[in-house]
Amino acid sequence: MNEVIAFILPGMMYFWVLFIGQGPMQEVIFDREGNILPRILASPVTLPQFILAKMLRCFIICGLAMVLLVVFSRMVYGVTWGNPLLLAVAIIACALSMTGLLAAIYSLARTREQARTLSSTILLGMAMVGGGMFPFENLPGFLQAVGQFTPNRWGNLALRGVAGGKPFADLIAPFASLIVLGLLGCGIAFVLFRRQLSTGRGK
Amino acid sequence: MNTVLSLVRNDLKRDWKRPWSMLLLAAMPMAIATLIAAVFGGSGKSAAMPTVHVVLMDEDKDMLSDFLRSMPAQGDSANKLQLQFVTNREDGIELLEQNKASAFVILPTNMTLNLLNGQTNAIELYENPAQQILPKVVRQGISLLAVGLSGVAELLSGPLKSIRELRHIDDFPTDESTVRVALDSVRNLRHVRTYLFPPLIQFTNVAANDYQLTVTNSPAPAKTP
Repeated sequence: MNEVIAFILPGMMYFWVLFIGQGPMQEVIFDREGNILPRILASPVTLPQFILAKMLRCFIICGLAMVLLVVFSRMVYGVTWGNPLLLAVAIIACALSMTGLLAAIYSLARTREQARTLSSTILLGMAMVGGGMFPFENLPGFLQAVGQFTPNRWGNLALRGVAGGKPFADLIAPFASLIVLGLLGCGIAFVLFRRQLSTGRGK
Repeated sequence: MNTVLSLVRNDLKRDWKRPWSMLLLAAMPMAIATLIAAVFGGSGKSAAMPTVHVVLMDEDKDMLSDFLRSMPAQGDSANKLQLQFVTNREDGIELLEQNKASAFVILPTNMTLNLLNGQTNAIELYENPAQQILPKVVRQGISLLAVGLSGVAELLSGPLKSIRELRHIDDFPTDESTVRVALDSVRNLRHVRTYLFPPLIQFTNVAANDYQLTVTNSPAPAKTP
């Protein structure tokens, strides 16, 4: 049974932890719509600091949730997760990519409803084509081609690779992809959030 | 940076005080993975394959049907397939209706003779509608059997006819007839040798002096005095 869990869990983990990480990003929109943001900005907190704090919190929460799931699956089901150092790198890379993805999604949304719809659609779609819900190898060719560009796919590869005892050289591609996707998403989101929040767009 | 960290610290303190929604979401992947593993993964032990009960009515009572009747008693199939023989159709159908068998198979009259003469035969199959999988297994098995019998009858009709005739004589078969059957069989099988016996490993003779030249990846043989 633990082999099946070890096979399913990485994909499921990536998908569900994204929902956990939504909280801080949702707060950015709530604070803006609820007029809390002007009050925060009236204190010695700048807009970039506010955005960075939300992203950092999202990163920490995603990382902690993954650590919790890894520890739980190890203790209860005896799932082996391979080299702890590589696992730590995988978790950090996954958490970074999750932060980038969520920040990018929420920076595109103008209202709470829009954010909710957009995030659910994108996260579900990515999980489906990225191998989070179905085995990636069983997907039709064109969906596999699309799935290659999702962080879910790379997260899955990284976590399964570490659990399967792959050497670091084989894991460079997934780790690098996750980190690049994460940094890119965070960068884009930072610019968009800044522009949006400073001009009060979406109010 | 200090401001960012203090903002994060404050938010995390807030999360720590109300962790339930996050814990619930964190439990979801574990719960779903456990559920899927329980449904598809079982307890780690593979489930034993059920025994297929088949009712058989042999109207042929000839060489090939005798051979088919003896097959389930050999090897692994002895545990996986259980045949029950009936002499009339009603008994077979009744056993199906009582859900005591997955399928009822009727081997037709003159099946062996017709097969050896190149004529079409029809094996009748009644599936138990109360069962889902096992009747389909029997159907697949019968289809495979029909194809196999056709192939064998086409390829070895001559030798099989001879064997059939030998079965009906009371005396012990003569050496000449036995050898003729063997030779005919081998000759016929030679045509399909490539398909029946594809070479997995090929042996070639190599002179001792050429051994090092031809084999590059294998270790050199130990030198003998």
